Amino acid sequence: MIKKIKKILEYCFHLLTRHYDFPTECRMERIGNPEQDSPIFLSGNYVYTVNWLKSVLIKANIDCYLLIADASGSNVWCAAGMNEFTEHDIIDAINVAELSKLVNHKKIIAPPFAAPGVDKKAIKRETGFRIIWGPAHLRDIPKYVKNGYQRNYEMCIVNNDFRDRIEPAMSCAVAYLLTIFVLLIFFPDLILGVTIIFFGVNFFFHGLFPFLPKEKSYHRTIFGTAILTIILSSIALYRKWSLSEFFIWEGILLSSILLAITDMCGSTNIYKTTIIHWLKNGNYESLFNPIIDPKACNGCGECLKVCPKGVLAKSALTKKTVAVNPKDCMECLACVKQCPTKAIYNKKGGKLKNDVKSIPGLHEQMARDAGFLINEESWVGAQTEIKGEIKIVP
Amino acid sequence: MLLYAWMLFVETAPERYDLGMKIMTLGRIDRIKKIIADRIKPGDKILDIGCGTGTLAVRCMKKGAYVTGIDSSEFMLEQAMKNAKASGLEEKLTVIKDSATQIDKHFENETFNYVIATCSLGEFPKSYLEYIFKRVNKLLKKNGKIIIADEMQPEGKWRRLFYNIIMGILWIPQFLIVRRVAYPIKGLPEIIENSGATITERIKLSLTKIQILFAEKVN
Repeated sequence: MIKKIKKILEYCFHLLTRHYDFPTECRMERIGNPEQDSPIFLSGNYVYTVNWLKSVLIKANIDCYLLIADASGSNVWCAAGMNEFTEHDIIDAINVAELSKLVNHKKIIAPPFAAPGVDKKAIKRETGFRIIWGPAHLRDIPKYVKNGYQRNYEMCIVNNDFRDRIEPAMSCAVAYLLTIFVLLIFFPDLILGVTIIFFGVNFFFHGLFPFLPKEKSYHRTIFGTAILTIILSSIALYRKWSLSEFFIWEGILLSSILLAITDMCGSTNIYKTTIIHWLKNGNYESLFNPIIDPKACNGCGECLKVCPKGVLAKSALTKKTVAVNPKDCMECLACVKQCPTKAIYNKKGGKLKNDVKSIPGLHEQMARDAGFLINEESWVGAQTEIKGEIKIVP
Repeated sequence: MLLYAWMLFVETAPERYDLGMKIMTLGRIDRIKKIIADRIKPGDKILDIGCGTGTLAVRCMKKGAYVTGIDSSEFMLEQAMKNAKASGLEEKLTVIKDSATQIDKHFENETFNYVIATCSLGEFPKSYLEYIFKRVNKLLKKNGKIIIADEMQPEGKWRRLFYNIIMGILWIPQFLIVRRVAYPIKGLPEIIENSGATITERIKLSLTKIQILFAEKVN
């Protein structure tokens, strides 16, 4: 019972503080009774992920090693993009744990969200170990193991379900609230109301994400603002606020809507664009639209294995990668990092969101003119079928 | 918005990184670097682990030393090379992009007079430090020296408690400024002594928990 309460409290704490670093010690752990041929799972050293991963592995009775590498105490996806979870951190972990003496194989199952920051080849070259991308979601690990360590397409995709959306949104609200509280010291009466509005608005926009109209010429913003203003007005009527009181709360509501609708300035994983782009165009379209040069592509398929949105597919005809669904891209740039031949261009040209810092020469690569690839756009929207873990254009 | 502005500000590191570090160490980073560079003699061969933007390396090279900087961040190394070029010292600087645990793969045994590290070991847990210092010892020449400047956890129960409280309060501003929290190193003197070196000197800086450790290889 106490254990359960502790677990719930721990969950709540990390739910609210996800935007802060909580490192746990980098180490090698034995789960169950691993032997020489047992699998090795890799994780970053964010204490919340490590505990979660451990409980999933223990629950599923998987005998394995858990290698915890330095991700500066933040989640793997952010750390990889921020250049804080790189091949070097993994090499360090492999070296210190003296992995090659422990196991008789050379495979490490890694979270695919590490792909924007990890150079697999360097790890192979320096340590001999091969990185294999595991399932995107922790909860799929038991299925993945049962499936003979093979992923299917669903396991590669981030589906942004309710929990995935609401967790980062809530913790982000906390991060901003902490900043706002500094200003609110002078207006202590507002603190409770501001907190409620802040969490409410975030819950509304992120929790109800799939049910709101699509953001196209600000449709979602206008719709959401209207509904929330109606709710606020009803409260005002019920509690008989004066007009000036109403305007103060409406002002607070509007500013928190602005923060939420810009996805807390792009701090959670839904928003795919910059604030300036949104202000100008009123939509969430990604600034990165991959398009692939078929002459440069060698068909290795590394990009297909790391795309969390199913943007890319393999053409059965040419055996090369094509971009079939660029609208879904969220600019994680895992494909760009993993591509050994720099075959991926940005159709839109121009500047990116600039939050991925783990790819040397990214700006030069993205500034290349993609005009000569105009024929490749015909792949967009092509019929695909799923084969194993990837999409194929038959 | 404040938070976002700070993040943007620091995210354009490493140009801002030096400034961030200066604020964090209350400007003491320069004094530390001066203390270290004052020990260096012309012709010394130095390995700088986690050289960052190379500000210490430049100071040492000005004293006539040859520096090899190792860092896992390409952006930092580029900045280090730029800094060296600005002082016309790029011939004396070698940079290697690799992890700290890989140092022995790049050099012969007994290559360096000095192995230095400033504020770069804090991110490593004990097992990593043991692994690294075992290799550092091999790379040092006879009578080679180790100089480490970093935040170290104070000894003594009450001091540690006081320190932890202060750290707790400073946690949020520190996070906002450099977007990460530096943790103090625990038990570094023992780790160094176990690797085959003796601590010869310790300089404590007032008001911060930064210490400079000097050690010498036992032959």
